[in-house]
Amino acid sequence: MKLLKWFKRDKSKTDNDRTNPVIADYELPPYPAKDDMAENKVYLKETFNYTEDLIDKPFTIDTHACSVMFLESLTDEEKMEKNLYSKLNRVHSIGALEETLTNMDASKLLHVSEAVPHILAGKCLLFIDGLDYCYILNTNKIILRDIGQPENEQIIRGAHQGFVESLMVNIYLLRQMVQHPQLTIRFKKVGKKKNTKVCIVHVEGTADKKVLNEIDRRLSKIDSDKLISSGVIEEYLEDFPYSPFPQFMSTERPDRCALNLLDGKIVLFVEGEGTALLLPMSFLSFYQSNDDYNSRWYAGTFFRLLRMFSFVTSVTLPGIYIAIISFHFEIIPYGMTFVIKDAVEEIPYPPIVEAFFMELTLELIREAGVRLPSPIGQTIGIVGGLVIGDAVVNAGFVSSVMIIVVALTAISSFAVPANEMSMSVRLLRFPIMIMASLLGFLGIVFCLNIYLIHLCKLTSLGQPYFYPFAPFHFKGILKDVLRFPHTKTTWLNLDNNHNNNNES
Amino acid sequence: MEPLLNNRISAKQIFFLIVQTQIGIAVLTLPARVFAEAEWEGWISILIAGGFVQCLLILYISLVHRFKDHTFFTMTRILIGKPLSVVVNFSYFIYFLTVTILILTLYYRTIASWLFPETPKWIIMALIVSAAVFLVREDIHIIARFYTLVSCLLILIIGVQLTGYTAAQPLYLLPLGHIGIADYLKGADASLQAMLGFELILFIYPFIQGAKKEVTKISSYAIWFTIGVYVFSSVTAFLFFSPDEIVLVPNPVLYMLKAFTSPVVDRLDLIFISVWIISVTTSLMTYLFLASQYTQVIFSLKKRKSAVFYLGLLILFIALFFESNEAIDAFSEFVGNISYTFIVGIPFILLIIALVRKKPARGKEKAS
Amino acid sequence: MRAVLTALFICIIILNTGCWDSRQLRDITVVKSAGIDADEEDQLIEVTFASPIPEKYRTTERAQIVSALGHTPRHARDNLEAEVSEALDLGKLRVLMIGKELASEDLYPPLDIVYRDPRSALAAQIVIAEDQAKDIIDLQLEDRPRTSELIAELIKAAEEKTMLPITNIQLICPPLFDRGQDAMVPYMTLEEGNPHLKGVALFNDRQMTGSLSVKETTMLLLMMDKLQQTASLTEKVHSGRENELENYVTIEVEEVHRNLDVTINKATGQIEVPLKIDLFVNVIEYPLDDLDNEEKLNELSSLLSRNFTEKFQKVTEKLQDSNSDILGIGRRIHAYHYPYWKEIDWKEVYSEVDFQVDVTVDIVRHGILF
Repeated sequence: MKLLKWFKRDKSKTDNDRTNPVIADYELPPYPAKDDMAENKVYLKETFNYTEDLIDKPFTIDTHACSVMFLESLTDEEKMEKNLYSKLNRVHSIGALEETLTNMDASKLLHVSEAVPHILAGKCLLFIDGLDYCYILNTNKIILRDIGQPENEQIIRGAHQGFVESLMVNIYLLRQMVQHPQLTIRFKKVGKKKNTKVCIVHVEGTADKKVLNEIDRRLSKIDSDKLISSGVIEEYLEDFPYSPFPQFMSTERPDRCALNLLDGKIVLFVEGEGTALLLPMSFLSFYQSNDDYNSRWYAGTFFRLLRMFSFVTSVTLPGIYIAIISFHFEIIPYGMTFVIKDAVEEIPYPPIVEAFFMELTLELIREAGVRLPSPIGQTIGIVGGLVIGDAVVNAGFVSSVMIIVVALTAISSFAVPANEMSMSVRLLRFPIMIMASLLGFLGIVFCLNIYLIHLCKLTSLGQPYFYPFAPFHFKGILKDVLRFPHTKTTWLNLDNNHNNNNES
Repeated sequence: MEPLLNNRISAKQIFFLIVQTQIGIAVLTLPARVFAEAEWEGWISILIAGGFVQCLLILYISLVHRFKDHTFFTMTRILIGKPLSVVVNFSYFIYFLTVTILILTLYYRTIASWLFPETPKWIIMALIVSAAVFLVREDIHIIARFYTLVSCLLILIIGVQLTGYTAAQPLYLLPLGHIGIADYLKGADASLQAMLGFELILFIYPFIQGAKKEVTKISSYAIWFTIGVYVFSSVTAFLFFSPDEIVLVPNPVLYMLKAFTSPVVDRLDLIFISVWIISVTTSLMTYLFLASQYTQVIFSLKKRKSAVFYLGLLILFIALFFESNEAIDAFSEFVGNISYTFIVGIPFILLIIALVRKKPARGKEKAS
Repeated sequence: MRAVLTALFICIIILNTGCWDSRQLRDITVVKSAGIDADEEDQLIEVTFASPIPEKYRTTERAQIVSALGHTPRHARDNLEAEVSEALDLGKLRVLMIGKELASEDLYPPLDIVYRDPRSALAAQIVIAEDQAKDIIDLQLEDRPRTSELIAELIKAAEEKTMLPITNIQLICPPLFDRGQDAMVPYMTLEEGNPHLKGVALFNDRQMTGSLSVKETTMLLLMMDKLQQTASLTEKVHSGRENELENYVTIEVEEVHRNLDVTINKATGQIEVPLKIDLFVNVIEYPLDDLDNEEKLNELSSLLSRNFTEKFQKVTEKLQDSNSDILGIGRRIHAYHYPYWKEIDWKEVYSEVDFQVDVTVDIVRHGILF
């Protein structure tokens, strides 16, 4: 029973009240620009703690002392050259300079303190001695990765683009796919210091207003002063932080985002990350791949069903094996009894130990291989998979049937298209193995029962997670589990917008 | 936390709530029980019991529909006054707990004799109770979703019994009409315990979204579906076992599966009895839910959640006391007897009082 | 804190792993065939278990065969546990063989343990051994590794050819308990060191009272409308031919239409059972080769009809001699003439039943030759 408390949702824990005393807030008191340029400069340098990449480039125009200040690391020299230096040669008075600046789309600031965030974004600040305002110029450096195929989510057919680390490029990619005026972008700064830029994309009209408001509310509640990544945001947005199931999907594929946007889902980008969060998500969406829609419909249906089946096998197969050889060997049909009996005859350990040993070995191989460069990773796979597997059977530690079971389980857990789901699924099998070793099939069914109840309870931003199974919706199952030809699905889409509320 | 959900259930979900509550551990023993009274015509007894249950259902709905905005426990207060209602409500509370304990002991008995004779009792009971507590903490709409989902198990119970037809002897069902009406009624009485669960409608009516007519229709479907499953199971068992054999077999449905063999899997009974724990748990969940409803109404607990947990512990401890087969049988008999008071007696009296007082429903009839 | 407690709780459970009801497959002796015999001298029961030896321990012997005496099968089995290194388990029993002597007394008592035990294999094949079951179980055939498999496959093949009824321990139970129907069980003997099917053992209630040969069993099964995939019958139709082979015809039954009726002559109390059987057959062996016109076909079929009517009638008489109501006539009387059933003692009346067998043979095909 205590196990249940793991799943209990506990809101108070998620609020992080502690403040970190070392990093102070940089909400600055307003500091109006002074006539005296030197004073402004000192203020700025002090604010930046005399950091050495803060460059101060003085020059004079018509006896007026001017100065450009910028963070060298963030500023694009080429843009400076093009936008500023080349033009300075042609200006000979302050009036002309100001005119040029206005034409260049520079903005005028009355407070130096306001310029600080801009400088941090890579812009440069121009002071003119004797004026009680300053100009900010757009010279930030943009270093971009190529828009390449995402490594983690490969598909066979379809768009081979992936998100990059820049918000604007990502939005560009989305707008390319969904060319519609209702595609709405909202920016929001989150975190205790409001220093992480988050972008919420939705299609007005199809996305649920209530969900949008809820996202907004939860984002404002983020109170962390740590570096905010999409993982952190995900946890703040979740309804059930203790659940083993991922409640949102992270993807690097613009086409997947576009598909889901049109389906009424919401996409969330975090500045500086090449991953989009898709929300709210249902369990089944983790088992769908864009390939399903691009292949023949019966192939798509078949592979979807295969993936569902892989969910069941990857969660239960080791448990079933344990249950059979330690409790219910009667259910092995006559022909197989002695094949299995011969295989397990001289194994010294109880099956649960045997299974845990192999499962953990396999997880270890995967974990060791995943961060290594691919040639070494492959070697590890071969050493681990083939050499250890063979040696372990020959040495008589583990039965050969166990190896088959573990290998099948591993393969089926990798058949899930979404990485985060595959992780959850791999963890879900351990309780089942323990229960199976205690109570055989009864234990397995009990665990599955608990998982099912949990899935029924689970919501993703208030939307039922296990839809269309719970609430049961027959057409939804036809639509999400199977895939009918695109031209023949009109009868399934009749109540598409209301299906979440239409419980039957 | 869930601003987007409402905790009412649709009329269709009533079907699954009732069916899942009714079909539980009793279906495994039902054929043998009715056979003991009505021999191979036991299935007719089940139909008679079904007709009786159908009448009761109409009675219930006409009662609770008068108080559409009240739960049963508050309704009794309006109808018969506070002091009497306390007694009635509390006895219902005890009745629900008794039924949960009965389900628990019966399932343990089956498991112990078929699968795990050595495993400590508390482990198996704790499994069922913990699953029940885990779900019943949630609102009724979550429970309804879960019941709908696990209703695919009903296909299982029908499907596995089809294997019995490989050795069916149709002549075992004949002749018809060889016993008197009294025997049919006795058989109906014996099958009534398996029908328990339809009284759920008394307590969850205010949660249902749907017109009275629709609710009546769907809950009747549910009852007749259950009866269909029962008749099917009984007929299958009567066809598979010869009359003199069936009296020796307390769990005909399971016993039939024991002889099953195929090149892929043998001994379906082992799988079936394990999977059937879910259907048993759903029956238990309903009664635990109803009992927790009582605590919510009486103690004005804002959250039922903690109450559910303690109720679970309570029934677990009480259920551990039943050791011998005789004690369980006596207890089962006792529950069968008192259930008449709760499913027939009290609702009937309440309906008469309601009719006499002609008290309209408090508050306006909200359009659902 | 709660998490620590939970972890502790789970750990304790894991440490307890392996207790309670787990039976590791590697720690048990899986018994594949068992024999139960009566031991006359001491009024004891002798059980014999055979279990294949796992490949790793195999030397010359391929099966471990043990037997012991006891008052009941269970008692004898418990005595055996002292002899066998691992626990005996009958969960995957393939063949259960009962000695004729025990079966003629009462078949149920030795089987009670199988019906009662939740782990027993009800789908196991039950066989009556003509002498001692032990002798057949004891066999260590050179060419077949497992005698149990051999017997089970032998029976299965015979079932498919309608030579034996489809039975297992559970399937014989309803007729065993049924007052209106009786059971039949495959009957086996040892011939020149090999197991040999003799046909079926007939039961009167729970006692074995007679037996039928394989050919008679086929006829009985045809009368019961229980044709499996095929059923072949060889019949002598001519007698004058020089070549003995040409006197015979072998047919394969493709379809059976059976019409069984039970009528009670109220006046005499005589029970009449008109039994009309239409066999649609394929001639598969007929060395005479003269089926080239319809006349000869009709001649052959009427000849066969006459012969079969006679032989089928004989089978019913044999059933009546053993007082074994395999056809379930009593069940029909129970179903359709219930008041009459209550008046009579069926076992007394059965031998008086008048079977009126009428077989019609219809040759529908005759291979690819005339």
